Amino acid sequence: MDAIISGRAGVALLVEGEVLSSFDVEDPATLLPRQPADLRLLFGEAPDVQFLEHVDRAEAARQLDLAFNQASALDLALILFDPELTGDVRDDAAVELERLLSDPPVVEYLENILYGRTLPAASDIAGALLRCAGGRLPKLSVTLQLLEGYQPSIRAVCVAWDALPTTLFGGDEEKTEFQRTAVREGLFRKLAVEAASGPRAHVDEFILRARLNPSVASLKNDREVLQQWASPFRLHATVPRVTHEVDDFLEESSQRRGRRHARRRRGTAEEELNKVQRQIDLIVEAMQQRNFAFARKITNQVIDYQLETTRPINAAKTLCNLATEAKALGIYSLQLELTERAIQIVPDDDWSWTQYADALLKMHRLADALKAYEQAESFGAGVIAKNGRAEVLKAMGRLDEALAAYDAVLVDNIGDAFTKTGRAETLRAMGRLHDALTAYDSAVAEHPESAVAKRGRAEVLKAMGRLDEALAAYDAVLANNPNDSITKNGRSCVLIALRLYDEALQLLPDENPATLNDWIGYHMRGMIMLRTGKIEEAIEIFERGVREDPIPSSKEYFRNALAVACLRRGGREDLERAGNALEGVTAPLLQPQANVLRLHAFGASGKDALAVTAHEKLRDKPWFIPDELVAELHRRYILKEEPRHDDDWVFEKEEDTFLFDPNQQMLSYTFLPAA
Amino acid sequence: MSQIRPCGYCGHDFHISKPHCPHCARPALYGNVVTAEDREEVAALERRYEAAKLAARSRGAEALRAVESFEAEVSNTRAVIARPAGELQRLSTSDREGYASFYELIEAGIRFPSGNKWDALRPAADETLFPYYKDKIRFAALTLDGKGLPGYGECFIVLRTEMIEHRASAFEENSLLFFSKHFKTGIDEETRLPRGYRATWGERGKLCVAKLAGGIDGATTPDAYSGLLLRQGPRPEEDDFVEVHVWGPMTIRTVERVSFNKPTSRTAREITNRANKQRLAKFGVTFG
Repeated sequence: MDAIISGRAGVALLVEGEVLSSFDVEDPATLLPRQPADLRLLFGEAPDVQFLEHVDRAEAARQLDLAFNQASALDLALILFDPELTGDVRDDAAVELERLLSDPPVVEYLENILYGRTLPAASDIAGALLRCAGGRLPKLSVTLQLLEGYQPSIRAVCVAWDALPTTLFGGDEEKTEFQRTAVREGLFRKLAVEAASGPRAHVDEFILRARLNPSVASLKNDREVLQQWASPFRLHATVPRVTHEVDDFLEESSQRRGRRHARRRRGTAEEELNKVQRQIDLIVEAMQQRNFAFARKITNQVIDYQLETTRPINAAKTLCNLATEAKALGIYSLQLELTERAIQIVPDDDWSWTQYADALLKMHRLADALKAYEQAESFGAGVIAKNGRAEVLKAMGRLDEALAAYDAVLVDNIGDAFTKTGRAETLRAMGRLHDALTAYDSAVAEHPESAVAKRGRAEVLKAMGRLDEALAAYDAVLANNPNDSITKNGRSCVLIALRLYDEALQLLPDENPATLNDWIGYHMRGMIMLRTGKIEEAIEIFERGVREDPIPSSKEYFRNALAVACLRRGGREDLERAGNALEGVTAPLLQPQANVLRLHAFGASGKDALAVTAHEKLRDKPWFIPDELVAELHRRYILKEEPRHDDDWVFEKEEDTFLFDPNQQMLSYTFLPAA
Repeated sequence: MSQIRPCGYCGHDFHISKPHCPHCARPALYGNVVTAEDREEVAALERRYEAAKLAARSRGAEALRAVESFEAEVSNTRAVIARPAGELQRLSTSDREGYASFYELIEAGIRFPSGNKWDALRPAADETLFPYYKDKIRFAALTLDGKGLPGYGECFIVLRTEMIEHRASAFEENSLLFFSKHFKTGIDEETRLPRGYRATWGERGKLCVAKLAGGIDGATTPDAYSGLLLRQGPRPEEDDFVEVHVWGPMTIRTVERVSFNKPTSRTAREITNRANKQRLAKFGVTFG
């Protein structure tokens, strides 16, 4: 039996000798008798009619189901990209598309079509990607990220196609027919992927494989068309772009391949480097767009290529450089992934270990970070590893050990500005504010270029309650670095303490946080809402932080703040929510604030035992938690005595613990590259 | 009828297929409408109509009243096109997407003649009915309830009367079947097909009465009119309907409402239908 099917029409026509019958994709069990004249009615103008030879009914039904799913996947993708459709329709399209993408032939069909042209300007791929956020729709997410990442290659492939003269095909219609076949058979997709592969582009293999496809081979002048089309993507077609790394690469290349014909190869090596550099640019661009699937894919290509053609250390360096880019963008999970791979490739490279330890610190895996810094030190990483180790101890709340570690570096007289500011920060965190100020003054004097030292000094002045001096110190930093977001956040904090809320709001970043400083600023925005009585808006901000802030320790600040806001609102359910929010606070440095709030939340909801435990943990509370606040909460919820202050006083004191917390600003220094 | 008509402005003759007078370049009317307005066509239809009414009267006052009631209803019929959902989807993406005629599709290489007996017959039939302008004609059917013929597609597209009434004409039945039954070879173009089987849009009620009054008696109630007017046969050539010929292009702006002939069990289709509903709403098209 033969069959004619169309997924677009959703119909299969079975041909058994002279007898014709059909069934619909919605009801494959029901067979309807047909006449030859029905063919036109059944398939209409469907562009995807397929002829199947020697198939039985079950196979025809299976093929029809696949073709229907392929056509549906394309429809759903177009719905997903359409910004004019409502969110619920686009959401449902995303979920159904995820289901359809479980079938590899559906993925291939969809990609073949979507890679045939760049997405129209009106396509909302960002909105489509947003629907996959949080790992809910992993297959769709990867498909979209790759599609987005390959757009420049797709554009290049289409430009190359459009430039082909019509005469090469024998006419306009022939060119259109060739293009239709090339899209359907995935040639546009394959060439776009090759075009993004830098020096690994296998153009000849692309042509060979394309010509092995009977549908392509039957087209007029196929060899010449493919040769000309793919020509811009051959290595020799690159316009050389000289960079400072060229010579290193050339040396590496010639050492590995022998020096014969080095002169002739120089051009090729430069081209290869340019292609690698272009791929690295692509990866960074993909990171900026949070297109991780594409970033990973191209990274794998670059690293595999480097492992084949140069020493492993170069691949590790590339990974560490990319990790630095990821860190600058606040993508710490990717920083960790890249550095982890670097130490796997070169297990004894001190630089890779340092970068790996730094990534672990960012991800708040403090014990692992400590070990990694020790490992880096054992491979000869020196002062960077020592500073890093002290930094981790500080983040663990082991402030005495951190101070000792910094002092040890300074005793060896190898300390730099990082050591001195790190030590000063530790003193500040210990509440030794005068010592901290002295340390910062000294750091500023020795390293006047260090914005970290100057900001730290301003922080100490703020913590000492010398708010006017703190403002002046921040202003001095801003005078040299007007766009320094860490300083702006610090200044805002002082303005909030001075109740100058509008002025503070003006300094804060907009309401779409992306970087760590954006999130810290967003947290402050919530605090301003809270301070000005806009509790619902504050809760909305803190809930979003808990939900979306990608930085684990920063996210915990939002948990604490959400607990305060819930306590402020004061309903029975709010007390429960406050307790739940506090459950997720695990960072050692945040425990004192969390325990104040636990004492409040558990005490107010009658969970006396839990309140007592929280109070006991406050025995060694840090300096920025006022004694009178702990005493008031103790009086109210443990001793069950009459309060001495009203609720507003309590809430304000609790909120102050955020404003005067030295650790939140410290996050900026810990989690951001040095200014 | 003569295919040559005088220009309404300069008075010089030209062929009805021309969209402009070749002498003064003023816009001309539409070939199918001009043909339906031909005096002899109108007279022949009037004769069929009167004969049908007379026959109804002979069946009793109730039968006549039922025919008159039927005529009142079908005088307000709409034109419906049944097409696959994919065609609707294409049209709904933009008002720059045109609904192509059969010949335009073949010309553009989008559709190829299937080689069946109807495709073989079609050029001859269409050239006879629409001489030199067959590529301009789009086909539809008259409907009372918005439903079309599912054999042509699961999606029923009802056209806006105000966008077609000036360029549409109605025809007795499937014009291919009519041609196969009635066409006579001969030199005289005037006698190749019988007259009185087509009407202007405004006179479509009379054509419906002339064709269908014989099936109406005193017991026929209004809810039966839709089935009388348009009936799906067991096979496409057994479908019975009044064909509508629309001259010239159509887009989604020409569409008033859209519906499907059956609910879908496929999630993807259900979502696509919802998306189409929203896209259509932008063009003022109702759905369902």
